[in-house]
Amino acid sequence: MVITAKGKEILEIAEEPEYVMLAKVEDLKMDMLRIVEEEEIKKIRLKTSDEATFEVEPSILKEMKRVQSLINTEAIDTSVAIPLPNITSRNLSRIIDFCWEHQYNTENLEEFKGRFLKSLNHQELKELLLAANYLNIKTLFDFLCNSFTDLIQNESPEFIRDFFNILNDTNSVKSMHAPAFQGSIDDD
Amino acid sequence: MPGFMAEKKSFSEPNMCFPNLANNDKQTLTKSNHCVRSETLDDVDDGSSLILPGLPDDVSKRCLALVPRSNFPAMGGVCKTWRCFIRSKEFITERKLAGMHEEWLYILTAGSKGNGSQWEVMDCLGHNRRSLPLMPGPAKAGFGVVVLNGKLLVMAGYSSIHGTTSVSAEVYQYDSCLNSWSRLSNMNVARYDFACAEVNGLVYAVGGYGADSDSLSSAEVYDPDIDKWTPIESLRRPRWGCFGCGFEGKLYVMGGRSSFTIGNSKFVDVYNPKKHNWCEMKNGCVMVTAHAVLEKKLFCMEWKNQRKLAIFNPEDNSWKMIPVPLTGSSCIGFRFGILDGKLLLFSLKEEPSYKTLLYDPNAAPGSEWQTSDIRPSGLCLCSVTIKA
Repeated sequence: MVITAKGKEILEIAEEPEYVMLAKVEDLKMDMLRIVEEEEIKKIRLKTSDEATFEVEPSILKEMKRVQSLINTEAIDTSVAIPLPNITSRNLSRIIDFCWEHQYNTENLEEFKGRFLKSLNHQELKELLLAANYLNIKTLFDFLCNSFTDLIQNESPEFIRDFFNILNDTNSVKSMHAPAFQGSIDDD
Repeated sequence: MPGFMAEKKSFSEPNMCFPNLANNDKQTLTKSNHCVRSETLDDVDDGSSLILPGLPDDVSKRCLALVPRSNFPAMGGVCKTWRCFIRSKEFITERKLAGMHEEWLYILTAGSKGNGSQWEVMDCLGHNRRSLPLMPGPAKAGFGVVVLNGKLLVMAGYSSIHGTTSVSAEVYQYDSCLNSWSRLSNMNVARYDFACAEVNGLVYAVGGYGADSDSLSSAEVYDPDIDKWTPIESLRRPRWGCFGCGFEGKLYVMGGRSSFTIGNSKFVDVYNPKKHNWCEMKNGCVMVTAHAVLEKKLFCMEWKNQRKLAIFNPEDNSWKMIPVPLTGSSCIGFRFGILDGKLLLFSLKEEPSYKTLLYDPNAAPGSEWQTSDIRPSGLCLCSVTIKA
């Protein structure tokens, strides 16, 4: 287990001998202690569907409007991790990554976004979009919506159907193949 | 010290319970799946199929609404669910919410030498000029034109075929998103040279000439949700050659002639849909050759003075006159267009040297008048602006 420099993510490192892992965890614990001591601000813990717990700092949490409103309105005991039964640790880690970059990466945010998007396959894109919708993270939601939009833009109906696995229930062959702006009278 | 308790787990994708998520999250989703238009016009649609498989419709709708407008016709060909959404009122609303409304200008131009008239469309910069598919039905004159929910309605009018004139009650709708025409329910009364306007999502048609070229006082209203024309209280006297506009929930009918006045009618007939009644004002304009509504004001040009804009403010029923600058061109006589909050003055003569005049009501004093490169490819018969 490694806590990254950002002190936010829990990632898995495979194939490392156990003693190295332990040593690292010890180091990081110390690091974290220092961080906790340095920062007066209280971090909130979130628990994903696969039982991983993430510490999230308030500036990131602010982006997650849903969690924020839970904390604000329901006076949740913040010493207990808030469960997010719909979000996997992989996705939460991606989300935190995105929010972090969005806040602190002023120089090459676009480049990060490009990489971020490339790392996602179609299914993951959907899951993340749902997660962003669920957590009500506007920046990420808008970003992912736009990337869906890019998938649709300038594509033929056939491509869109294939790509999104949509059943073709249009019986009018004519309208299917009608190029944009040379339409004809609707059958219906 | 908070624990980092992630168990050593492989992060192979667990089964995410997103369908649940969609259900659990209902309170944040707006459940407005109304596609009334499709119910009346489409084939069978049980509404069960998702817009994008694996995503709740509210999220998919947002994704679709972000696509640039020129893609809509292709998107309409994907499946019935997409088509139904793209032609819905909700789609236009979703686009507006997302700040994606694109304004396009539609101009009906007179064809040259025997060719029929033709709608052309251009984007807000006057670029990407295209022709619309031909208006269905016989070529007509004296019809009414109204924009409603991203659609253009072309109503009634008369046609002359081999010397026989027939007056029509037919209504056609152009869906600006799907780039296609369809037919709506007929009006109750065939008419031409009548007044029409949209008020609070309903379309009104008032007066005009009837099937026997008799002048009409009858009026009717169209509800797009049920695709039906219903008669309303008639005008107190027949009126024709008039035009209509809607302000603050009321319908204003101006111009043209009335059977009770000699010459042109200076009266304004005002219909209040809430009270279902008509009342009159005396300070209308007469012999209007062009009119357009911009920023809750009515811009008119009167035949007797084509060097001035007459601007009506319905808040205090006042008129204001603004002189039209001389441009060195001999052009008089204009048709109006609206684009990006500005009034365009298209020449009624095909004069190559004429640059389309542009009036910006919000410009600094002294620079309200400019010229624009936007001009129709032929003589402008009428124009509308559609946001979608």
